[in-house]
Amino acid sequence: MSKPKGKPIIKIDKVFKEFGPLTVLKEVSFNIYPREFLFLIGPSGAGKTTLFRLLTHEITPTEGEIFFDDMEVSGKLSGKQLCELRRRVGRVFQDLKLIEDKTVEENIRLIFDILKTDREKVTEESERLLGLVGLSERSNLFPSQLAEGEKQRVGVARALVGQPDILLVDEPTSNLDPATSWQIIKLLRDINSKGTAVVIATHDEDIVSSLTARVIEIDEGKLVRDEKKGKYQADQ
Amino acid sequence: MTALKTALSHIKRSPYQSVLVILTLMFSFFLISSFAVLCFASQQVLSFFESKPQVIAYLNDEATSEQILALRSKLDNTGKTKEVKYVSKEDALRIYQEANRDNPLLLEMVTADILPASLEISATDISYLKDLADILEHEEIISVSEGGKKEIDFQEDIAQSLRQWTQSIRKIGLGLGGFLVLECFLLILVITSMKIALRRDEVEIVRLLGGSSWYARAPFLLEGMIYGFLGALLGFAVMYLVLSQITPLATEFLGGVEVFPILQEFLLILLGSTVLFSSLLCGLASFSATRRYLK
Repeated sequence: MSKPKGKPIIKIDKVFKEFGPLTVLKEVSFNIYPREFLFLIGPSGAGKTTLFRLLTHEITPTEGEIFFDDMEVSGKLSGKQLCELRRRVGRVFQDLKLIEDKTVEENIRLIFDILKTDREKVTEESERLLGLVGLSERSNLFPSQLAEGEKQRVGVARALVGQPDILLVDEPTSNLDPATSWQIIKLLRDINSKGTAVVIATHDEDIVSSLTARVIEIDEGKLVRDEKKGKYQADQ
Repeated sequence: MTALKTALSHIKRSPYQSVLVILTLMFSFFLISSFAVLCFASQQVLSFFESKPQVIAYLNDEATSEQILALRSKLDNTGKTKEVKYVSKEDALRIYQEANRDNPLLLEMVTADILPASLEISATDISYLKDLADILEHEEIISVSEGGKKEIDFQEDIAQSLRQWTQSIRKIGLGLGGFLVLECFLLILVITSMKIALRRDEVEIVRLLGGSSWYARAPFLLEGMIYGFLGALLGFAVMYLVLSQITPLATEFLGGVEVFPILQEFLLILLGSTVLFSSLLCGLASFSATRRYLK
């Protein structure tokens, strides 16, 4: 496992984030490279979700810089840049944010609409994505009719619609039994093997310790570990 | 197309709310278009009366054509007259015969000799009528009644009251219209805000997954515009039905004043402008709501 080569897809440089008197991130710096698979770990409230929100410009850092490719995400973005960023950075939310009154397929089609995909392609692509996450048979069900693991899969499929360069997955196993958790991780591994960088925020130590992957640990807002199977990454 | 589909599905998914909004808009635009028709009709009535001579001065039989011409020039020189028309005894007889052609008994008894010649005067403004009447009062060629009064028909009161009525209707219409427009705007603003609040999660998801601000806003804007369009269209339709019912009565009441039926061109313009105005107004209200709640 050598250090990833090439230009980072995401560059986080000395980022601070404060919410009033509370400092959530303190001088966090690291890079994410194309096709990487990494875990972002830390206890609840460590700042993992805040980092994801910063990467998609949902919030901006109090200090420091974040770049996605050559786009400075930490600064002010135009509407067009923001749309591009959010299309190229796929996100699976901790609470999934599925639209409850739309079926599985409609939830996915919504993103095709946003991306203005050709109508002919939409059906084909929807079927491909549903097949990829193993939900072809459940495309006409509503989120409330699905099991937690299936909902998680819908979230993943939806995040993949725009063929993002990187997928940010927030606590994908938090409500799942171990077997389903592993199915989701396997799915994310498969997606990564096809070229999409995957960042998984989790505090599931079992999964993290069982896989060969880069691990970044944040504790009380500080980056305390960046290693690959115990091997420290010197790119900070 | 997607935005339109979403807007229509929003409307379908809250049918009672949608019906309430459309009915409220319909009532408001019924009142607005009714007042517009009323203003138009009253203006027509006023124009009819203003087009008629407002002062008729009857001339005595001794008046010479030089004297009459001199009086005409005097009146013209004031700059306050729109038209001064001389009606000879023969013209007066013709008018009389025309007016009483169904009554041969009356026609037999009247000859040109017993009818006076007259000057029919229209003023450029009703407020000048008094000045013109004052000039006529001092003219010798104006005939005098048995009571010693100059024979001058003076229609200032009718025209003046009509003008006041027309102005009052316009003012009330503008006031009420303004109030109703504000009410419609606030109604759509509140309803759209409520709908945005109900769909906040969906809107948030759309934005977080790369949807543009316009993509999130468009269905709400279109929804508002659809309400405005339907409300104004139905309001106009109700007004048209009421109008068609009262037209025979109004025609009979107004007699020779040709106001009813209201001009179809005017009604078409009114329909187009209220529907367009209402759609834009409601679209603007929705836009304000989305600006406020979809930052």
